[in-house]
Amino acid sequence: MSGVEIVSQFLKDLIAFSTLIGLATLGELLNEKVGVLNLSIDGALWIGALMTFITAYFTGSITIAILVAIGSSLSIYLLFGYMTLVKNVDQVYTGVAINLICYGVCFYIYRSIFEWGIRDASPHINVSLSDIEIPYLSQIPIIGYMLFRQTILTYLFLFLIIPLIYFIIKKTIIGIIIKAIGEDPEKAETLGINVNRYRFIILMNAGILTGISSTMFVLYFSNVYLTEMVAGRGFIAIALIILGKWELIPTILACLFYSSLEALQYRVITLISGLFPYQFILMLPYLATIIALGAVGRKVKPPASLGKTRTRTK
Amino acid sequence: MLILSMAIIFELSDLRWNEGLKLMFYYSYGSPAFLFETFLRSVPLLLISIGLIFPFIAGVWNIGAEGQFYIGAIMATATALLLGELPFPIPLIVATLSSCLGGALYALIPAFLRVKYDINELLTSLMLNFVAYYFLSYLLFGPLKNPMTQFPETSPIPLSSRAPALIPNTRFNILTILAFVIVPITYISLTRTKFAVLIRYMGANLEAALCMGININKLIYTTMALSGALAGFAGAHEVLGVLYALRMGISMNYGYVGIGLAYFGNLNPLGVFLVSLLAAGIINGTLMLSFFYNIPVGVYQVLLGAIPLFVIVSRRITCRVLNKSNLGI
Amino acid sequence: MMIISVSGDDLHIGVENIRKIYENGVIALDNVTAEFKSGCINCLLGENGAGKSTLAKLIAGVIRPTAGKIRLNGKEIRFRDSQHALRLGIGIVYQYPTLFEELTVLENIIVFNNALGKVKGFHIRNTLEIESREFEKFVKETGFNIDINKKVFSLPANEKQLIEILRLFYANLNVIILDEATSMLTPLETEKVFKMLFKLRDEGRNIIYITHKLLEVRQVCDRVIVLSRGRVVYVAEEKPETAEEMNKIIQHMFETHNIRKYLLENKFTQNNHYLRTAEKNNAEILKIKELYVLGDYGELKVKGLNLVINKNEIVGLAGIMGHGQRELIEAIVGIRKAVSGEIFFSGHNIVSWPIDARLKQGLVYIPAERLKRAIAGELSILEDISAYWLNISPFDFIKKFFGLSLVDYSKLRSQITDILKRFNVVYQGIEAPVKHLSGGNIQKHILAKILGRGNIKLIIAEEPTAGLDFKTTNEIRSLLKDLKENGTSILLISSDLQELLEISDRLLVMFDGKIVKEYANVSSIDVVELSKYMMGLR
Repeated sequence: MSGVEIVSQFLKDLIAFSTLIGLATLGELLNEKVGVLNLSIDGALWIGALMTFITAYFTGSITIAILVAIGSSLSIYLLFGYMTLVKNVDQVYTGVAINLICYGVCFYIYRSIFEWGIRDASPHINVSLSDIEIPYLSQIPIIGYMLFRQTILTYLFLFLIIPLIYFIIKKTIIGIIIKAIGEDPEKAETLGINVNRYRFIILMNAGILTGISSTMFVLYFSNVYLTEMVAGRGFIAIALIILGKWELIPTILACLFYSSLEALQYRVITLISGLFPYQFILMLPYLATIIALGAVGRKVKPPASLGKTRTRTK
Repeated sequence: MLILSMAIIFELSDLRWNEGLKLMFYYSYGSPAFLFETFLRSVPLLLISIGLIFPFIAGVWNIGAEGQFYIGAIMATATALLLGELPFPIPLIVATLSSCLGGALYALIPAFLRVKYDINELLTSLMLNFVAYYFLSYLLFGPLKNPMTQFPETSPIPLSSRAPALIPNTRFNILTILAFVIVPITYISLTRTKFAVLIRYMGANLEAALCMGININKLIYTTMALSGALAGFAGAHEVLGVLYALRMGISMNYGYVGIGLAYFGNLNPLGVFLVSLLAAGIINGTLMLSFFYNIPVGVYQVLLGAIPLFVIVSRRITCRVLNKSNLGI
Repeated sequence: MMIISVSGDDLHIGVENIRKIYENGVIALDNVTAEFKSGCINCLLGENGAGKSTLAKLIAGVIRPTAGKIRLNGKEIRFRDSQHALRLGIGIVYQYPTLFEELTVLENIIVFNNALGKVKGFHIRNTLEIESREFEKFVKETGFNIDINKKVFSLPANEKQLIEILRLFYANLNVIILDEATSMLTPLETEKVFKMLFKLRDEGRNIIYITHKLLEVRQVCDRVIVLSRGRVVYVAEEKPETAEEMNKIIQHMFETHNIRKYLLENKFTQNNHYLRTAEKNNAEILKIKELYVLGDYGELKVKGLNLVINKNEIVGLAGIMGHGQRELIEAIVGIRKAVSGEIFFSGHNIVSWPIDARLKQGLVYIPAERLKRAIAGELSILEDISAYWLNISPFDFIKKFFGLSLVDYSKLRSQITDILKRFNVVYQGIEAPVKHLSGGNIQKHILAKILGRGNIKLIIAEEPTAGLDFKTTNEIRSLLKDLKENGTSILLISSDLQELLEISDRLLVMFDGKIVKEYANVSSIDVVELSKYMMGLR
């Protein structure tokens, strides 16, 4: 492969990976901007990926699989929302707890269905998302290859979700209200802002986005299901938001940075697995996240109400 | 609550629920042999959960117990393999100590990052779990691999470094005894020392602790190191006393389950002791059951994973019953 | 969602048989019946803890009465929430800040307009920013110079309070409630606010002015309602002109007939000069040289500050809050690291010492925002004090037990009980949580904790009597004076000018991170000149 081709392929992978991590990250970004810290993203990704796989395996339909994934992700988020917004449980604790349940449930369901139930030794699905080429635009060298030969989900992400979120945050009153809630929900309440309603709607939106991103695991990047697939990406999303200083553009850049590492890992592993223990490449994203957090850590202030439980006074 | 959900799961798997529960209890605690096995199984959970009590009281979120466990196991194995020629009990002692040290140092990384750069230790300790996992994988497929088998595991460790079984027909060993001795030690240190008072204050109000001159950084380091050392020790116990080798499956998510258990036991050493026995019973019981009956392995994962949730719900219920406003979670 | 327009009789507010009992059982208001008339500045007077803020919050819809009725123009009304009251034309400025710090002033106004119903969520910012620029004009017209594009956290405390007041005035509300709303303003700014209040009153609006400062009563009020311990104890329909009328008010406020005693203790005089003699002792206990300290956002807050505190003296630090006082204090105590400069305490340069080392040397800190920074409310009194004592002066509490250092709780308990008695703390039991204590007792508990042991050489006291009732305030002020007589120096930071002028031996004025004026003789300070220094006009 020529140099240009390698670079183009790399960039294309980068964008594809950025959809995967970006959808979940942006959803959570809005959450955190209003003070909600949802640590159970990882669990939701696990369940979403598993449900996508199972649905695709049994129905062979991508659309249904995606819908199921969104639905299951939403139910996790609903559970989280119920516990934290209605029952006022500590957000961090609930997030970790829901995560653990999700892991357990995934193990259990997968094994019950495929090992005990069907006895399929290496289940795989035969459908996947294909790249859709946009005529003319995709012919542009490098950039065209990178941006216009992606799946429909990526197009959704790049050209709909990102601009929409940008518009809402920067250009509307809602953006200001979001900042206000994030800083001090009690003050916002006294000014007539229904904090719980905002948080709930944003939480559900994040659930949808996470559900969409979870489908990419088995519908694009792989056609089997491995329990280690998600590999902590839910937490990486959270780290990326910190890297992005809780602002939209820096967070997107952080996602791109992380995706570049993922894209590197994707192709490079097969290239150099002989030379260099592949585990170290796998470690790279986590180490990089830690180091990057170190670089940003000091000066960054999260939204003041992030993760805090609200006490009811009246 | 726990029992209710277990019953539901059994029902789903075509097993009569009361039969299932009975059998489970039998396999966990029914006979002396089973009882010892359950005690044995509870050790890593116990050690990790007890270790986590310290940082959790102080409000330091150590989610990295899993990784610290791995590092401890790695250190124990490596030391044992290296020092194989030395007479017993030297390698055993050195390996145990090195695993505690390794666990403690690994836990100090997120502690340092928090003290120096104000980075949330929850994320860093979590990331390090993955790093430790992959590192273990590398070692087991690479340098430490047992040349004679196909599996990712090390050669069995030399006899001189093994902790001998104290009770015949079990693997109940001296490290196990040590683990249980730690429980009362922890209890004393949490009720009668200055350290205990300070970490409670820090957990109750960090800003006030700072203004009142409490050395927050020192407490972060100390609590993390303590829990890291105990997690590492848990690793040593498994390697030196149970498996006598290092394998990929050495941890059954102990680090994460430990978090739930620490809270389930109400951040109290005695409570934690009881619930880790309970959890061990669940694991052993369901494993046995899945051998003989048609229940998929993995039931325990759901149950154990759900423990934190049960904690929340049961707290809520007790709150209502006792009519108190808030028990902290 | 129209705001009711101004017209004659429309704005009368009445409260009938109001009771308010809080969750912890405290009876804040007990059978209060009162009227607030339109076209009038109604003064709600009472000392701290009397129930003024509670009543204000009830009228503003923030909390609901346990019993009783609220009437708007004779019709009974139940407020759904504070926004409901706002849309009915009732606005309030609280004692504490309600602006969003991370937002700009302009953004805050937009959020406020949203609350008023003037804008909706999906509106585009730009079109509404234009409308909000009108607010900017309004601010300029009233003679204040505030940049509305700045984020609120970067404004000093007086500008923040002004914005809160001005946005109410601008919103064309019919009922304006000001609860101790001039606490952060300089006297000159307060004058301007008063002028605007007069204008609004003449337009027929209903103004409720809450204060515990008697001086303001004479300046501003048309009628006076005095609250004490949750009850209405006195109503005056005329503006109090004579000293006799004022005396009556004071009598009822403090429920005491011994006015002479009160006057002697409170030094209420008829003019702006305060009489005192000062004596100095030239041994230095604290010396700060060219200190530079950064704030939370990386900006420089203390800019080359120099100051000296001698033995046996109380040095007051006057100034508008937000000009670096907090950063200075934190640098002296050790919570915040200075970027450059030196701090000498008792001969040592402590600028790189950790906090506990400084505390152990006798440099102690009594923080403001006591609930947040001085106590762990959920813990018991025993635990709260034990933590501090075991950390700073553990000597006779540690027993050796087979080589282990264990805590001697019985000794701790007896000493704690003893110290609580000496400091007059009223409490249920030392196992009870600190947050269950009443406000004044919490502060006394804090003082007992910090001052109860060890050799205290310098106390950094930050707003020590904020929000406390008269009796406790006096107790604490006399305690500080006693301590000074016995060899402890005190750096007193307070937004209460009267307190500073009453206790300090020397007064320093801080503006924009530096000391701009030192008054060596607190007697014959001209308050007008002092305000100018505080505002940086000199």
